Amino acid sequence: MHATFNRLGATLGANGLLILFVIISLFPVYLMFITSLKSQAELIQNVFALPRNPKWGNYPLVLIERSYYRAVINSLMLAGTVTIITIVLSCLAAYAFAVYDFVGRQLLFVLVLVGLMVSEVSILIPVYMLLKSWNLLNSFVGLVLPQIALGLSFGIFLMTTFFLQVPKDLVDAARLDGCTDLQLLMRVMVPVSIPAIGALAVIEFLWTWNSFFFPLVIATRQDLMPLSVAIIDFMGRFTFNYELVATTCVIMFVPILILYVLTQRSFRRGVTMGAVK
Amino acid sequence: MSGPAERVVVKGVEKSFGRTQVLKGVDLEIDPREFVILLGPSGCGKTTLLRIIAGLERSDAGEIRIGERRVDGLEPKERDVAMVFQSYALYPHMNVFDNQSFSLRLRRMARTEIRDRVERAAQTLGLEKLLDRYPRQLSGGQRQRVSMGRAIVRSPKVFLFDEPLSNLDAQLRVHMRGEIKSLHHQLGTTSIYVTHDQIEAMTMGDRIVVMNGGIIEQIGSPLEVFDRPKNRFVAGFVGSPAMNFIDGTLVGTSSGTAFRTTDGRTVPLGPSAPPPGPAVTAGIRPHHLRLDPTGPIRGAAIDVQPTGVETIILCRWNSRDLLAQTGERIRAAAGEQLGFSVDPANIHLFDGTSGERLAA
Amino acid sequence: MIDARGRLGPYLFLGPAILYLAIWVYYPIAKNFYLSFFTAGASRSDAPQFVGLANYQRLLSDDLFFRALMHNLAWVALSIVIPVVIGLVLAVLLVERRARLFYAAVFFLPVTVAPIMAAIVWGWIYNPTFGALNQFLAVVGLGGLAQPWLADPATALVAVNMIGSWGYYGFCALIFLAGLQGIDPEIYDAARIDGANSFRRFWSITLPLLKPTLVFVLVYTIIGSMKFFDIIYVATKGGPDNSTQIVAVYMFDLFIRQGEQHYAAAMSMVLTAIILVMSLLVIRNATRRT
Repeated sequence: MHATFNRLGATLGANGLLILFVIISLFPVYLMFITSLKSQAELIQNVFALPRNPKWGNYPLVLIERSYYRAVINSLMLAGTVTIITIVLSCLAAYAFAVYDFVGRQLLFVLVLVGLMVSEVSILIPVYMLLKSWNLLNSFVGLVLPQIALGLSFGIFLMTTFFLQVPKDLVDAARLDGCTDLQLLMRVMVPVSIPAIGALAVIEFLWTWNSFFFPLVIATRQDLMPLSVAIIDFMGRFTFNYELVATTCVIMFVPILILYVLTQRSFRRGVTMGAVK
Repeated sequence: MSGPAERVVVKGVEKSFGRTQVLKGVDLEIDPREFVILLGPSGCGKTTLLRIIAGLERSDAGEIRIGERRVDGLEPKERDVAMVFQSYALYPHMNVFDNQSFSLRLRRMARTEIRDRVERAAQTLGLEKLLDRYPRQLSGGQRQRVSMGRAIVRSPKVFLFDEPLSNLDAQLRVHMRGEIKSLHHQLGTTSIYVTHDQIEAMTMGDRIVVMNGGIIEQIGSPLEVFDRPKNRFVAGFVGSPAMNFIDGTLVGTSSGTAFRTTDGRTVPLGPSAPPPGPAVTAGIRPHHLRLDPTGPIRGAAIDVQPTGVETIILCRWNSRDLLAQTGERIRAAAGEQLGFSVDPANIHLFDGTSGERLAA
Repeated sequence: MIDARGRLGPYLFLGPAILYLAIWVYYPIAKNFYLSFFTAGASRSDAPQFVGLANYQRLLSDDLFFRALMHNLAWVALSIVIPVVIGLVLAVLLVERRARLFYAAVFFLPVTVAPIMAAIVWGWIYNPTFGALNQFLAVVGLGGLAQPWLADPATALVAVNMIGSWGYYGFCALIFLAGLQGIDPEIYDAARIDGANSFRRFWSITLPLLKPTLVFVLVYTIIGSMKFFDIIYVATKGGPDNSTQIVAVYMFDLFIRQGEQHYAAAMSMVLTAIILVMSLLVIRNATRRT
């Protein structure tokens, strides 16, 4: 009797906790959506509920009249380019680490792992100076180049772990079938590793899309700003237009939300694969 | 569909991984069209030797020739060999047709020729209806066939098999043994087959190469290896259940040389026995031990195991296990003293220290 | 693995990535170190002057730097106590549920929200006039607790850390869930037969077997907390009254606003060194006990 009572209590407690965290997880996102559709007045009177008169007009206002479509394009281009280059470089390097035994393999791999611990803070100043001397501040290339460096070590690490899981026999069979290195990579390793590459792609895209630190320093010209910097810039000028700030936030979040919903498994794989060494 | 047949020569091949030497100078000549088995316990170097012949591993010393060509130093693809793997190693992202044609496509062979070859291979192996399936949709036996098909479409100079049947269940294994053998009859391609399975070795090979600790212990036809093992290792490794070994010495008696066990029993030997001398080990296969209450070999029964076809008797003698195999159905209580005799012709004698076979 | 002694292949494949890292990671770190021993010339056109360890000496007497560093350490502690523990609890609650992937997906959603966006939205939630938090407190009868969370130096650091925690527990939960699912359920059955209760099973089986995962999360948390920037920069800019000042924001300010690149370089060097030492300590402690 006592035991059943305890168990019932535990189940209720567990479910309660889970539901509480579902609410905590979703509420700010919900708040962001509804805020983007409310008027100033409604914002203060009616915090939690859905808007009475949704102001859908905020979206064309922000996107077109205030030219935020450009930041959307900038972000797409930035995240897309960074993701593609990171994947190419990671696959190439991971191939060497996973398939070959060569002099310096250990040392070079450790060197790559060191990159995992390096933060943007520790390289900001030299990177800024480098970009400045190459005239790349306030340029698309200048945004792309250092951003890749931040995720490259992770990408190499992730792809190496995955390539190492490709059965050795498969690699040997491909060699006997007559593959050159590049053919082995492109026609066997890469197709077999599509799930891992997908995982790396979504993670890298998310990171770059959400990245703020480097773009804040590098892109000070409005027409080059990705969404993250553009939103902060917008906020600086229209601090109290909460509904418009919320609109820019929603515009920034929706592509990620779509990506997240569509590629659940890849996200999960990408996040957990890095952890389970 | 008959492929080219080439001689394979391995001369003085050595290989170390770190500090462990896995091949300590291996010499081997394989005739064209021959089917040779590399047999040995795990870690004996048989797979390494196969991989060195394939070019997947580099030898530290020695040379490999396929036909007239010296191939060590060449890339695997330049050697024109095909290999069938234990895990099948099918490309999971390609269907059966693409798996089989991959090597041909890499060589930019004409499309019609590719189709022709894959279809012929599929016919030989009964895969015609599976060509657009993916590996994950196939059973173990079908995957095995695809992996052989991938090897035969290339008409390579040499086939290499790396324990190709060990992932199959017992029944399928028997069946595939027959299939591989008949395939070899059809194609006549020189084949090297690595296994640790006695039965595969005995039934499939023209010759067996018994390896142990990085060297070749014996090369011979299956029955030669079974009937006249060159040393104690081969005698103990080939044959299942394994040969019984009894320690003793050779002594002279009125009727010629006899074997005296360490506990003082005398087993007569045939006229061709070597002269009396120092310590030897006598080897007797379990099926050569005959139940004989008056026989010189005696032991206390531990367990009697009827398998239906035969009876296996496990005895303890002189603190050693003794195994006998007989077609009769017998019963014996545990601890009961049993006697055995053996035809002198079926006693193998090995030098007590070197383990080499003594002339007999 | 293919032995490639004396062959170029692997180096050709590694070349681009290593060269890339050399230019954009290794060289900057070395350059940063180099810069930290100089100071700007008297005027713009003057060459920087070598000053030895002067920048590091200045750090030692910079109270604001130490305050910021303490805030970083507090951030590490809070991040371990709150999101890591929450993530572990959630993962343990989820591991045997059929809907675990659904829950995990919901909990992970905040992780996909850009930190700057989290800072903005939570800024509204914390807002003293129309903020959801104070309104909620009023509704449940705790209106007395309402306050300007981010504007009060007493609550600002914890409040702003909650924003970071919101975007992090889902990450921890997902990682722990993967770690838990890697534990053979038969071990639990065996423990149950041996008479271990659920608390005992968690303490004696789950935690030890989860250790590699725990170490990863700890190291990841330390690195992330020490280099933290986005949320604080957007939510408080280090204020009010430097009560949320952290090293990265302080360094950024020195570099961008005050043009003190050499001093900022020394500061980021020290931060990098601290991150490295802390991570290595955790890893070494974890591997020594096994």
